[in-house]
Parts: sequence; C-alpha cells; structure tokens
Amino acid sequence: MSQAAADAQTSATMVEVTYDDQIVRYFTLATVIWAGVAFLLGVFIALELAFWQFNFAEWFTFSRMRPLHTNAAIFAFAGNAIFAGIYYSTQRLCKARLFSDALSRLHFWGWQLIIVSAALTLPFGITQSKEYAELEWPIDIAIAVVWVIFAVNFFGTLYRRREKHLYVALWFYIATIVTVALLHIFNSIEVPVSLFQSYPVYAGVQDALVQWWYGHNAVAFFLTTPFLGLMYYFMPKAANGPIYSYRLSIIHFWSLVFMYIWAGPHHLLNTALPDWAQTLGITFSVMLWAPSWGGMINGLLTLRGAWDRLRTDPILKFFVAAITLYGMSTFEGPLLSVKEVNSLAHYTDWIIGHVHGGALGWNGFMAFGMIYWLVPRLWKNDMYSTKLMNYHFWLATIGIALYMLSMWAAGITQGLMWRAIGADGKLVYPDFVETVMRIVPLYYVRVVGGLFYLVGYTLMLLNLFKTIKGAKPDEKVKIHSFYAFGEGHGSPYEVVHRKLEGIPAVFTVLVIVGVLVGSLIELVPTITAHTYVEGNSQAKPYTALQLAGRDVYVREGCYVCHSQQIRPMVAEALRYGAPSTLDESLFDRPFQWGSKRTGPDLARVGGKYPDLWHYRHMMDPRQMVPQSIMPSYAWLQKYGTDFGVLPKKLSIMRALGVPYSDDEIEHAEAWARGDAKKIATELEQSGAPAGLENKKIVALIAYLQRLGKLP
Amino acid sequence: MKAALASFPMPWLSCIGALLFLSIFLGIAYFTFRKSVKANYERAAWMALEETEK
Repeated sequence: MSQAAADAQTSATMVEVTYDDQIVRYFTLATVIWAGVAFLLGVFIALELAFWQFNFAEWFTFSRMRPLHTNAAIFAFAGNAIFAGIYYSTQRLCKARLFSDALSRLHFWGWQLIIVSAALTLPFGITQSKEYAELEWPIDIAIAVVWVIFAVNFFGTLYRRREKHLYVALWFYIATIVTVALLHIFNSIEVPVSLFQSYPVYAGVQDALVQWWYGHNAVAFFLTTPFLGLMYYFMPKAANGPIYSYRLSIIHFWSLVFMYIWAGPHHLLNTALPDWAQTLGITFSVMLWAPSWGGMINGLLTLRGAWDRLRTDPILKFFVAAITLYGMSTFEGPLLSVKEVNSLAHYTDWIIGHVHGGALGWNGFMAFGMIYWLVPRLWKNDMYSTKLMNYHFWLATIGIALYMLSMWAAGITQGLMWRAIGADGKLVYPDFVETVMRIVPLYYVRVVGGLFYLVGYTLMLLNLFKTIKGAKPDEKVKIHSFYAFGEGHGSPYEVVHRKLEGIPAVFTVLVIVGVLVGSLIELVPTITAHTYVEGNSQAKPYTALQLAGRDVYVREGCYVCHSQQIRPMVAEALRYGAPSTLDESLFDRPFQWGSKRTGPDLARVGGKYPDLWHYRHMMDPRQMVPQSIMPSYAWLQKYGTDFGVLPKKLSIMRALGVPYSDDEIEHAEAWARGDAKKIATELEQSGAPAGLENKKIVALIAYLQRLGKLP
Repeated sequence: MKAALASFPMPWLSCIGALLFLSIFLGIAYFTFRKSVKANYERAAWMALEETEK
C-alpha cells in the first residue's frame, strides 16, 4: 500500500456494523426441519413404488405425494438452505447488515407459509400438474411477492455495502435472484377458473417448452447457481485457503449463466417439439459440460495443499463429496442429452438416479457441510460430536450409492426391454408390466438407500440438537468496524471485470441480457408456432365431459407415471402406435406429455380397451393386470363431477383460443350430462354399478377414450 | 408450413450465432487470462477469507 493510501485509511471514517445472524439461525433451523420432511416423503414414495399397498388413502397416493416430495426437497429444504447461506455470506462479503430486518422476517415467514400451503394443497389434488410448478395460482402469486421481498433485501444490502467489489459468490446469487424471478413469472401466466384451479395461457408444445425452460432452469438457477455461490464462500472458509482461480470463476460464471438457459429442450427430445429446438437444446447441454466442470475444478482445487485434512475434517468431506457428485451429475447430464442416449434413458429410472445424484449429493451434502460449519458459529458452541458427523457422512454416502446404482440398473434394464425387438419383428416384451416386474427388486434397493440417507440425517438432527441445547447464550452484540465505502480499498489500476464487480446494477443487467438471449431465441418461434399449425390441423376441442375428465387426470397427477408422447422410434410405434404430432396436444392446457413411464404411455389409449375395462382398472388395477403396481383410484366413483362450472371453463378456453361455439359454451352442462349418461348406461349394462353418470370416473373414462383420436 | 416448423432452414443464422458466441468467449478469456492482470485477480481470490469479525 502506498503511503498516500495508508494516510487516507488512517484518516478515513470508521463505521460500526452488527450483522443480523438471527435470520440466519431461523433459516438454518427451517432447513433442518424441512429436510426431515423431504427425506421422509422420499422414503415413503419409494415404498409406494416398491409395495403398492402403501397407497392406502387418496391423500397419500403416489401421484399426489411425489409432487409434495419434490417441492419439499427443492423449495423447502434447498430453498431455506440457500437463504441461510446467502444471508450469512452476503453480510460478510458486503461488510454490511442486511438491508432490512423487517424484510428478512417477512421473507422467512412468507416462505414458510408457502411451504405449508403446498403441504395443504398438493395432497388434496390441488395442482397444475406441471413439474416443480405444481402449486396453484394464489401460491404462485405469493411466491412472486416473497421473491421480490428477498430481491429488495439482497440488492438493498449490495447498495449499502462497504466493500467495493462483489466477490464471485455474490455474482451467483444475483444470477439466481433475477433468473428465478423471470422463470417463475413467465411459466406461471395462467387464467384462474376458481381459487384452486387455473389454466395456463400456453398450450401443447408451447406449454411443454415453456415448462421445461422453467423446469430445467429451476435445476440450474435454484439448485446450481446459488449452491455454487455457497461453495465459493464456504469452501475457502472450511479449507482456510483462497479459491483456486478467480479468473476461472469469471469464465465459468458467464458461460454457465449464458448456456444453461438454452438446455431446457433436452427434456423434450424425440417428441413433437420442432427439431431445431431439440438440436439447440442438445448443443448447449453438451457445451454446458465445460463451465460446469470449471466450477467443479475450482471447488476441488481450493483444497490444494490441504488434502490431508480430508481425513479428519467431516465438513470438508461433505464439501468434497458434494463437489465430486456435482461433477458426476454434470457429466451425466450432457451425456443424457445426446439424442441416442436419451432415447434409451428418457422416461426411465435412469433419470431419477441422475436427479438424485445431484439432489442428495450436490445439494444435500453442500447443505450439510454448510450447516455443520454455521451452527457452531451461530450458536457459539463446538459441535457436540465429530464422530456423529463422520457417521452421517458415511451413511449418507452409502445411501446415495445404493440409490444411484439401483436406479441406473433399473433405467437401463427397462429402457432395453422397451426397445427389444425379436427376429420376427415383434416386441420381445409386449406387456408393459413385464418390464416393471423386472425392476421392482431394484425399487427395494432404493428404499434401503433412502433409509441409509434418512438415518444419517437423524444423526445430524441429534448432533445439532445437542450442540444448540448446550450453547452458551451470546449476550454481547458483536460490533464490526469498517472503513466507510471506498475509503479503505481500491486499486490505482483496475482491470475490466474488477471494474464491473464494482457496479452491481450493470452486472445485473448483463446477467439478464445473458439469460434473455437463449430464452427469446427458443421461446418466441415456438409460442408463435400455433399460428401455423391451426390452419392445417384436424384437431377438435375436447367435449365438455372430456374436458372435465381431463381436469380429473390433471388433479390426480397421472403425468407422474404416464406419458402422452409417442416418440418416432420403431419400438414405440409397435407398442403404442404412430408417433405423436404437434396438433394432437393443440388444446392441452396444461400439456401432459410427462417425463416418466412407471406405467405405459397413454397418448393413443383411446379405444384400446372398453369403458368397463377402464372402470375396473381404476377401481382395482390388479383386477385387470394382476402384477400392476398402480394405486387404486376407487374414490373417483365416490366424488361427483362439477357440471355447473363447465360453461365457465369452456368460456375461459375460448378466450385462450380454443374454438368453442356460443352454443357449446351455453349448453356445456347439458352436453356433458348427456354424454355422461350414455357412458354410465353402457357401463351399467356391462356389469358396473348404477348411478355413475355424475361421478368423476365417467368423466375420466370419456377423456381416456378420446386420447389419440383427433376428431 | 408444418414441415417448415419441423426444421430450421436458416443454417447461416446458427453459424453467425456460433461465431458471435466464440468471439465473445475468446475476448473475455483473453482479457481475463493475460499475464498483466494476474496479480489483480489473485488478490480477489482471498475475499471470502478476509477477517471481518473483531
């Protein structure tokens, strides 16, 4: 430092700051509590797949519990962990208290309220049936409001910072905040039908692309970028050394932010999505490998010179295993995005194994490492037991290994069985259930893996409880003294990116531009695609009863296990019929292409079986397919269809572009009742009970019999 | 028109896009990794470790 600079520092104004660590404690405790809920639900739904008898009540059926599990894991467990880490590190990196204590508390309680709302709606079938965006419109609005509160609090803290330059962790937080807002708002544009139901403005292929633009980037900007930010803050702290390469972080940050947003279409490979969009998705997914591994290398090499500590420090064990699993997942992701690999893996458990490698390994272990690092500092007490931390690590690692290996084996086995064609040109395994029976033993292994992970978590719970219980009350308010903004720092020569790090507004705008380029290039042509399709299409809107049945299908979450998209592959055509086309889902709000086939594809199930078969199958699947693992949906013959709301539903659909006539809207109720009566009468004549014409089961059958029949 | 939707008959557009992307990427990489700026960034790598607790 020059003498002039030293003199300037001596005469500079000192300011005193106290950090708000109470809010960090709140979010840390919420992380630990919701982690337990997410893991318990995970083990429970794994049991439901292994033993169908666990589907013992409608509220706890797999198709309703699975969205609750994913929401609990992503938004409750990972979400609270992100907020705890961001609030702790941002204050220290900015040398400033959080912008507003009131906003921090609003953020905390608002977020917990959203999680509780999810827990109170999803089990009751109140869902949009769009993966990771299942919550209905009032909760969507609440999420947007709470996210804005978080953003104001975060950017307000940046504004009041006493450190000129934004450290790399803060760049990742900025990318998270602006991109999640963008994704959530655009994917949630919907028209309410009632307090608990809405229709998205997008339909069919539009909805599919917007949803997976959102869905994939929820992984990118909710489960990746914020955790990379946490890695850049907590890994150097735990390793007690600087990050390996600040320059590598610049390259991998901008590449990651720019490329990730394009990758969504890899969830829709070999579907009716236009080929050019699929190709863009593949290209950018493969390119993503480089920036992802840039982050992994930067994280792992931060430990250079201190690898010996890995033997004794469980926190470093968690961080290093997390970053290694991040590297594995981000190698596997691009691999799965190659069309040929995807044709084998898509709709199988391989994808489930891939996702859990990232969620349990990368997100889970990063969160555990961070919690073990934070709790002794937040509660001013050493961790109760290092041994328990080590046990936690090894139990969870064995759990992840069992989970991933079993799901890889299940996915590859089933994928190969689906496509196996004999010398006679016929499917070797024509009965879908045959391929399910083969992998059920691997579902048992998954349950064991999940239990290992859960037991590890309970050890953490015990360890944290003992640590916090024995904490000494912190009576002193800690005051930190800093030079006022800009007076204690600064260099006479600043390079381009360092200058940019001193201007958060410009930095944020550049991030927004980065994510908008890919978004606009992919979304705009697809959203306008229907303009061209409608003119040529023979597609007709659903009848009023079919629409009511479709809402039942959506409400029950059938998409969780059944796809509605036949891929242009010989084995698919032999098993299900002709490949799906764009116009077949032209009026589908929401689209129901699905992402997993625990049961067979339903795109052309219409007319394949008589109505009575569907009735009996829904009442007890094992009556029709003895080895089936599908839950019974017997309550569908108990609950009535709301015919009165149909004119409103048709009217909203017409406002969104579905060509219903005035007459159809006006007489929607009578139209649906008439159709229902016909189906119920035929069912009764075939041996089903009388009086089903007003029940949901009849509406659902009407919808299922329409699938695959354009006119 | 449906056939047109299934393909992307503008290869020049993706070529221009790829060139633009490569140019920007190489530009950022050059300005970040040239030797003269090394010291400036090395100091920044320590930011997470700056002791702020008194």
